[in-house]
Amino acid sequence: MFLEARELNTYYGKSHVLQDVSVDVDRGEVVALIGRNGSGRSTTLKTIAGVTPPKRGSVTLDGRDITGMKPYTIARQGVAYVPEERRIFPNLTVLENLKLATLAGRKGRWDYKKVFAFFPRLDERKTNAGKSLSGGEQQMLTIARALIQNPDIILLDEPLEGLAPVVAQAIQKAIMEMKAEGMTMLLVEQNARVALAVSDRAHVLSDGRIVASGTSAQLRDDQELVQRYLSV
Amino acid sequence: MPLATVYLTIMPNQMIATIFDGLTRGMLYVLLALGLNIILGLMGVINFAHGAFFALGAYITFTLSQRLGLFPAIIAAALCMAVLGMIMESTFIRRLYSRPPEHVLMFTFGAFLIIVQIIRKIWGDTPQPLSPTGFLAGSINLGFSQYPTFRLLVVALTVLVLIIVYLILVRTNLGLTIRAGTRDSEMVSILGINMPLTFTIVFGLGSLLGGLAGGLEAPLYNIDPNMGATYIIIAFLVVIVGGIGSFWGAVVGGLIIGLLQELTVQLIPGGSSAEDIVPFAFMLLILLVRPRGLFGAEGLFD
Repeated sequence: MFLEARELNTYYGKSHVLQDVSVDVDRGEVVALIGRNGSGRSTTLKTIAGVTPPKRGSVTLDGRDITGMKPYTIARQGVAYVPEERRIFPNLTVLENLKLATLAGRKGRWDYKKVFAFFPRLDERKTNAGKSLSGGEQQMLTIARALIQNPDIILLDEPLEGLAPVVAQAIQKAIMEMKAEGMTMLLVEQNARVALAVSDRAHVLSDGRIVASGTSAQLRDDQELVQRYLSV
Repeated sequence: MPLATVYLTIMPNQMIATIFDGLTRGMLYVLLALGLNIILGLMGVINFAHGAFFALGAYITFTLSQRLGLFPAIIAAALCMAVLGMIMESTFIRRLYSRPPEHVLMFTFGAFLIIVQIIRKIWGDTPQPLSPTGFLAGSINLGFSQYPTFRLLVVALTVLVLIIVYLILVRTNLGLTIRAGTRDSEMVSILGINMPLTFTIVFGLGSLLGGLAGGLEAPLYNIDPNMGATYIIIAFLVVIVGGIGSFWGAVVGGLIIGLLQELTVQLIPGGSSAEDIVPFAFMLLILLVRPRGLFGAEGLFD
């Protein structure tokens, strides 16, 4: 597998947030992590990205061990992490936000032209400050920032959260298009229906453990599982 | 009729000279506060050692000027402080970012005390005079009066340095990284940028500005081992008045405080005893009106 996370154990202080979580993602695959809030989905992404390093366990990328590396080193290995809070720089313009991502990013198919063609709305707003963007535009920019680094894998955390239905649909469509382009993704999404619709495989998390895994088609049909771990 | 107007009518030339003196003094505050502010804005470090770098910059200028001449000595001393700042950041301060903020505060305060003691050991307790020599010792006729060349150099050099720092902030990749990192340095590193290295460079840049301020101060007033303590307090005050993390806040705040002090000393009888109080009174006034400082609400190195 391209990305292999093995038995990750991550703590926030004394609280044991991830307990032996193992996740694999192959090239070109979209894998979803689903589960209720607080089940450890976002922490799994943060742990892989190096933001919250694991106490035990390992992460390898194309066979190279990246466990415990600093976030900027992991990013340079080709892992782009798109945080839940979007974290657009409010004092920088859209263009500056993208430029910052190119500084250490790799050259490749995704350049300004392709990114702006992918999100025409960002092209219209490229000289506007980050703080003036709507929630949907911020989400587009934070995804664009990941794409322009030309990563091998994108860790996408709650891309639809807090968006109006129409905007959420547009972002979902963008994710589908990225998948069609062959982008490898590990996706965390609150809306399990959406997550299972866009992904090839999925893991269900509960209380920091993986409780079920399978192809997204299998999990979609498992009503009992949905009742138990996913419905609010 | 306000006092200043009275002076302006009866002694216009002296008034203009006083304003120039205030601006010169303000320029030192601007340099010192800007260095402090860049470090505070990006790394969140309240750097008391900055005051010691200021004093050390003055003393190194004092010693080097006997061999190199004054102007090269000032530049060399500032560069020494940049190197010292980078060493201090990469060996000690870096280890403290993940700890509670008071730990790094205690470290920089301790570093301040240690450096001041080292200065005492090397140069002694008594104030040292350092006068501009050669070309810099003269004065230039500005129309209203003869004005010391060295003071004009302070103004010109500070303006030049401010332009350079400003261009670094708005035009370069380093500046882009600093402006972004001031808001969210973790996100910058998530984008693959080497933030530990950036922190070291910025600490060097800030320390350079502190050392430069010290070197420029040395020929204006006597230098003594305690000079850093007085100036660092004013520099913090300028940062608060101007707004934490604001470039223009440091510039405008520093100039206003310098002017206010000089006007107090020159225009108010017995004003020199109020010299140290006026900046604090002004800060309280500003904080009542704008709690985040003059430029604080607009934010950081925007």
